[in-house]
Amino acid sequence: MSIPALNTAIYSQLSGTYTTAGTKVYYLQAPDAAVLPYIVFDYVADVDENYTANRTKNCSMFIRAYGTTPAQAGTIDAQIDGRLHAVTLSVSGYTNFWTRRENAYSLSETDASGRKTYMAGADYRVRLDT
Amino acid sequence: MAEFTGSALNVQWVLAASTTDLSGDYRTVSWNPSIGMVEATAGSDPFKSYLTTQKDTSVSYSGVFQTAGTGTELALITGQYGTLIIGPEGTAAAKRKYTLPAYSQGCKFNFAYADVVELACDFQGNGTATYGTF
Repeated sequence: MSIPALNTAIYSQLSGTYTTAGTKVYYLQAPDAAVLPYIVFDYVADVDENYTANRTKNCSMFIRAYGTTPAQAGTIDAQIDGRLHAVTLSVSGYTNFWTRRENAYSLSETDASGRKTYMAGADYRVRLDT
Repeated sequence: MAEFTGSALNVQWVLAASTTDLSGDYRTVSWNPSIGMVEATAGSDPFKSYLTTQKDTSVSYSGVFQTAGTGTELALITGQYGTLIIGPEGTAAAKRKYTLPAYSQGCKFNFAYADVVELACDFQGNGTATYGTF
């Protein structure tokens, strides 16, 4: 079950002038024919930790950049890192006590029109307390 | 009868001027009774035998340390005397209630970079441990 407030916080943290992608920050999937570069993020999974009576969430987000070149995607990935790694997010209804980058990925794809796109991104671990 | 988990446990640390509720952030609470023994084995006895002496009780608590506040640390400061009241199944009427006058042996912390900070505290019982109900 995704946490809408966390998705909102991620969007707020990345959208605007913070990265080369600007406001092209999308949840789950970019629109058809979206202009590169852009950012896509997924709410991969979460677990209720249940180690005390207070509710805590341990969430994994997959956040990546798509660009026309590997360098462009990598640059935006680094900008995302700068906006999220070890940063305290403002998540309505929760206290964020841990946000860290974990596994990093890169990938190239060729779409139906023959256009090549390059992805660079990473998993981010977000831990929330109520 | 049915088994139960520790999720409903209620633990209060009662001082003369205040009461600290340790229930919200606890991870484990251990209740440890013991009794002194004097060996009474005679030279020809094939097995050892003992006489019991005084009873004793100690309690170990561990929980998640919280930001911005020193109230819990101060309430548990080393040597603090108070009364522990533990309800293993909560505080509903007729549920079991353990009461122990005790000295706090002080907060112990484990500061892990990539994990929540844990607070632990041992309590040495002083006098009678009471086994009752709410």
